[in-house]
Amino acid sequence: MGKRTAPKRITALSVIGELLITAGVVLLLYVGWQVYINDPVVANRQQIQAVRVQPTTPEQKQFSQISKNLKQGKVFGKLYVPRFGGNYQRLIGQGTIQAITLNKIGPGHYIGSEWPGEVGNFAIAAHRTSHGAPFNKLDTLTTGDLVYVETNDGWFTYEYRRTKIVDPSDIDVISQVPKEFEGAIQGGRYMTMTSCHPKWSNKQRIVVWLELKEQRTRLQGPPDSLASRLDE
Amino acid sequence: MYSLLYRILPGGKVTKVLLLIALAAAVLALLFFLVFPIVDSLIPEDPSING
Repeated sequence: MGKRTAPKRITALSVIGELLITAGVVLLLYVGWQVYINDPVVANRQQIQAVRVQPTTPEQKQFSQISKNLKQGKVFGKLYVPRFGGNYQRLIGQGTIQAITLNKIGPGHYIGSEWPGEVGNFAIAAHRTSHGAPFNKLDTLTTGDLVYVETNDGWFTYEYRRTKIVDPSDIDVISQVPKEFEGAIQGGRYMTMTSCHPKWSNKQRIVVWLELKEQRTRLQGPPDSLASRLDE
Repeated sequence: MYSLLYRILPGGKVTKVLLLIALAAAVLALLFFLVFPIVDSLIPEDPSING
């Protein structure tokens, strides 16, 4: 071993420097936490909640009766997207406020857009990345894919129609008959899923449109194509 | 600052390094499980973002 050097003097400058370096490292750690730790943790939590919670209220009220007074963040339904992975389930909350719905519950219903099964457009949004990223794979939906929505009233099967990348200002995409949605007609029963695009960016939006294919009541039970997946 | 911490820690080189690793792990755990979740809930809403 070499000879011991006298301990360096600790100056104010060296303390400030080390604090700044530490702050930088902590900021990077925060980003890493959001991406690699918090995201899968939240996604897992959302899946478990969705599997456990039944959207049906004990009173079995008709959904049309409760939908008018739904508060922000109130869970009213469940979303099943087989394309996102075997047993993908998420709760759907009312409203698209991040702190209340999108960061916690998952997908959120655009207030003012229609309810599942109705004539018009049932529109929901969710994070593409971070906070569980429920719509991370939204770009993988393709022709023939089915998406299921469950509420007190029963099950609604929507079939994939179209995907488009638009600007965030293009709010017409969630209107009853979106102009960009070729083939959409007045009186159609549509569903819209929106998220950010590209991943990790807020620059654009990815929009997926679907059309109602089948509607089943609680008594009729879930559609066969969904029931067979749930049993797996 | 960190040099002072290193000097304060007891033991030889190996002990000091092990203690530093343990300390770092404790700080990381504190950040990941307590501080960051709180910070995340405090970050203000940007109505234009749903990334």
